[in-house]
Amino acid sequence: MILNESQILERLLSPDPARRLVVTPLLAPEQQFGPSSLDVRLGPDFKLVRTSRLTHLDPLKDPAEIEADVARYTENVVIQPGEPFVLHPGEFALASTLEFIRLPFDIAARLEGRSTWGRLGLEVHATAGFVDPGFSGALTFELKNSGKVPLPLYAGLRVAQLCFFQLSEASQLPYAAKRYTKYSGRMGTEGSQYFRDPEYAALRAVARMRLAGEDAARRSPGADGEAAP
Amino acid sequence: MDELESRWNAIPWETVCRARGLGLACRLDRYLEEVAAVAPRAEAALAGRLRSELRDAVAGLAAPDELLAAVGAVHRELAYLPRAPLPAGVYGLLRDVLGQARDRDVVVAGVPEPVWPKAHQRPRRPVAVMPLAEGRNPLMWPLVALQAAALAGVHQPESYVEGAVGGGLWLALAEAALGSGTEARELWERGRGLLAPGDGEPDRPWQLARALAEGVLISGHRRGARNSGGEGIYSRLGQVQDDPAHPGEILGAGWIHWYARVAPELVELAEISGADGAWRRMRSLVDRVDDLLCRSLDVAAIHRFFAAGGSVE
Repeated sequence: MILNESQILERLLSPDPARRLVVTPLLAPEQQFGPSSLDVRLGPDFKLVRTSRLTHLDPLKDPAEIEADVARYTENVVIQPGEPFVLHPGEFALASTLEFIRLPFDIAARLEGRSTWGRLGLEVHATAGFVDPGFSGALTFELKNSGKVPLPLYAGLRVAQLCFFQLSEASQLPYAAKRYTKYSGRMGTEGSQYFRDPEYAALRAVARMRLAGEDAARRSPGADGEAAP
Repeated sequence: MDELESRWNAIPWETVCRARGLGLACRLDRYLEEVAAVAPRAEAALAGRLRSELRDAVAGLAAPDELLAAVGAVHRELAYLPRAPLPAGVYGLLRDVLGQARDRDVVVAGVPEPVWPKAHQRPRRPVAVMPLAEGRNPLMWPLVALQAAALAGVHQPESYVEGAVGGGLWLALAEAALGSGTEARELWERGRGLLAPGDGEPDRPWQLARALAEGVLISGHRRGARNSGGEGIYSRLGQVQDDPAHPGEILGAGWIHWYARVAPELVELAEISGADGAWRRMRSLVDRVDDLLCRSLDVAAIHRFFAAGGSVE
């Protein structure tokens, strides 16, 4: 069931912490509420990728090395109130909601763009628009300017909206309680932690074995075209 | 009196002193971690070694002064590492305290020296300094504002900054004085007196501190939360409004949370810091409160900007 405006409001004001939906701050509720959605705003921090020294992302490196690579190749930008962040045509940047969001265990949400911005070519997420019950923190925007003109963006602009879905019963595995979460409780814009997915442990082990095998073959007599004695 | 107030009233001075060193150790460790991630190989290795020395210092269960000295010695080594940028919120706080016209006249610099300048020292040049590892600790930012106010020629800068950020100024001064003099306790009592809960309606910093304990952003106060009366939806929505929190309220809530919740837990964890995960939990505890406070200040500044129709004064 998708919540309508009255149900969203009732959840926002619920005195029961288990039912309460937290979206804070609400700068202008009358402007932010829609028939079945709540507009959310752009936060002040952005992450861009500096590609000049980046050949590719290698997920099979050691996670600490990947993290260092990602930090080296990421540019962080924080804008002040009233100062623009200009997203040029074709450019991609990560950002986050101004609002802190906490979903109760029986509510999921979906992040969607606003048509006002869609008409200018602004996409707010590439693929990850679903928010699990129990999520807590700022939501990430995957901003892309698919239009033809640069878009100056300001912190506090309503660039997206959230729709809320009520589960038939509360989740027993809310996001905050999951064993493998990477983004819970994050306050600002966070880059991808893709390399922390447990599947990569197996892939890294195979890659290490392959490298060790190649290394052994190189060292063995007859390698590199040398004739065996 | 609720649990938060009881904890606030009961905090021992020994815990205040020990938590200062532990908090600084955690913040320095985070700084080193972030620097190592972007540093060349040799510097990254140095940062790794310094992190290990920090963990040893914390696990050594030294007296508070000895711990502060050990953490300070590691902090001085930051002179040999690349600098991480200071959070934008420092400049936001300066703008809030001094006004837009004067906030850009002062250079704010992170320095490897772990000691804050004395309150009565007027900087000779337009530079306000802060120990690098304190960059992510908004609770100490009033000391940057104090230097900036002195540089701006403000009469009685301490009273002026207290007016802007509240009793948190004196708690920051007290923490800065720990390990280097006997005035710390007096300053601490003064700050605590200004932040003490009133007899009437709950004070705003206390309301925010309760939200902080739940891990929620504290950039504003919600009005009309209990009042959902009225027939039409616009009538009901019109009764709900968030007001932006003042920086002094956010910092006050941060200090209440620090002394009532974080400091005692840090000291408890430090006693088992050799155990698996204890150091990680200490780091996570401090990171979490720093991030919440930084973000709350940033978001509140944007909220105030729009609430004032675009004015940043």
